[in-house]
Amino acid sequence: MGGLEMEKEARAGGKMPGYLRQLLRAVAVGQGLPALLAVLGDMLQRPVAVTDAAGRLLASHCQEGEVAGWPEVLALPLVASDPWRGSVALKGGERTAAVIPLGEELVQGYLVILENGRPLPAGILARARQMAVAVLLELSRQAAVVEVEKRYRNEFIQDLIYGNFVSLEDVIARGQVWGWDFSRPYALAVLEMDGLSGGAAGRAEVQRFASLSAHYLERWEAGVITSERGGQVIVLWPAPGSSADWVSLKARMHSLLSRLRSQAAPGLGRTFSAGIGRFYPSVLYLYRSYQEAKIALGLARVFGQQGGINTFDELGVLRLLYEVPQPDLEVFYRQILGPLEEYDACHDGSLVDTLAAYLASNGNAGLAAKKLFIHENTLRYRLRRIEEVLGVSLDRLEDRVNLFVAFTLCALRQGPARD
Amino acid sequence: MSSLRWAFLLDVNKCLGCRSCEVACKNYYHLGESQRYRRVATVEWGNEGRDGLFFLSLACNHCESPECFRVCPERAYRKRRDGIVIHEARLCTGCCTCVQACPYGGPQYDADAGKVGKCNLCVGLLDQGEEPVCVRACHTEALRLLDLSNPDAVAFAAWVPGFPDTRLTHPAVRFVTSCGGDWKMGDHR
Repeated sequence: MGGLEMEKEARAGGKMPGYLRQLLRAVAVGQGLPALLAVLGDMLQRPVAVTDAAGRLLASHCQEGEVAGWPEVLALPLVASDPWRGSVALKGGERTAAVIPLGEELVQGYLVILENGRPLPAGILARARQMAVAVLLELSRQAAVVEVEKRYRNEFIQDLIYGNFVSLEDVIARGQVWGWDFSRPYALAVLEMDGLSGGAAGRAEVQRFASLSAHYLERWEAGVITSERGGQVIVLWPAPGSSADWVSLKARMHSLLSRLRSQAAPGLGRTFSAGIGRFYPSVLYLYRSYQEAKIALGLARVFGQQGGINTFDELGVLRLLYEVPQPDLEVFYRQILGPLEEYDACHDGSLVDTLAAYLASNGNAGLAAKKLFIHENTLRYRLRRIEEVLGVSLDRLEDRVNLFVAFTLCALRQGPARD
Repeated sequence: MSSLRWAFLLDVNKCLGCRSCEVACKNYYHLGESQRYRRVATVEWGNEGRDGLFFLSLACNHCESPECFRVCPERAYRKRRDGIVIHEARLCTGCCTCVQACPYGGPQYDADAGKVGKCNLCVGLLDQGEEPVCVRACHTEALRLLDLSNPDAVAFAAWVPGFPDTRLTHPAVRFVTSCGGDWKMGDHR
């Protein structure tokens, strides 16, 4: 049935249009998304596809003889509940499409209709929106089944990472139900999006992030398990049998997480940070690796870092500083940087910022000058002034360490969030 | 679907510092001489020219990232799905690693038993649908239970003056407070 016939049906009014009846019948008998899209594609006479909320392709349909070249993941921007029109990247290049979000408060997926060189007429688009309800019904039905499975799966992972298993045999037996081999050791990483807001919008973003992370990581590395908890994605990484290979596994985790960042970025619209726990030879100790991964991630947050991959066994001085009592930190900070703050306050200066930029540039004056948008000679003059005010030499390693530590303490002096 | 996550909710405007909660807990569990799973501390604060005083009734906070759980060499700790951190006394050797690691003084050593113990949120009572003894003993209803999976829980403060840094451990305790002001750690005396 083409667009003209649909118009006629709609004009007839009264009873439910035939195309909707056909679609709802397909939902009722549980024919699944491919059958539903076949009906829809034939009605619209255009290639159509359905993705999940993260843009992962769930099903598609093309007219006979036509090849759309749908990719596995469509980079769709986060949108409100209204349809939009724009370019989508297919395997053969960009195509213009009408995209209808499925769901209102919580978008469960997208219906993508490729255009044939010109925009969809408003009437057709309105009917496509009606048809999208049938697709949403089918998607919700499938999501309910997936949700139950995901809940059981998450509960098992949660029991594992919170030490609720007594014996390794229990873990191995329960893991086999899900097709996982827990007789081998696993490493653990925790991923979290940067600058995420709370509420329904934040939750939708987390789901999108979890879905994309699972899609890519489980495809790139056999045996990787992902789970979502409290806004974070937990990644269990199958590890070689001994700690001797830990260094190379860590490097591989870094590399794949960096790849995930670049691959998933278009669909996420924001960066993510990661924490990696230490390696333990038995999955019974994954609980400890999980806590360590969260500490590595948490400390990076405390010190204002974003988008990094932080490993617990490489935290070094940050971990020590966090454990020093607050009053001691205050005294140290004031002792080292207090005179410079006072100088800036009295002279309306920016020596503190200058020093921070210089240290953040690893003592590279040229780079620091660029960051501050000043001439290198101006920077050198300011550095001499800093040395005079503080009575230090920036060439001395000990002085530089003290200053670096004092700046690091700035983040700790902010105190906890009052949420 | 979010699942139940227990937390304590303390209304510092209502707490009179009477220590009923502290006594109820100590008596119910027949704690050792030096042990008090729940303790009431007095906090004097000063901020932006204003002064005040309140009481903090604190026990184990059943943290989202419990340090006791991480450092215990005997795997004596575990965290239930409802968030309660359980200490299995039979596995404890009394090494006190957890006592040193916890920033909130949750785990406490009993010299007579040679083991550590801590608040278990009266898990036995809770599983039977009853409230913990400290909550039951609070006659001003300053101390209550809260489900953190409830979206309304975000309305409560996660930190008050006198409480240690929460950024790594994420304790399951919330506060009702009217101290106001732009707080940062170290403002309290």
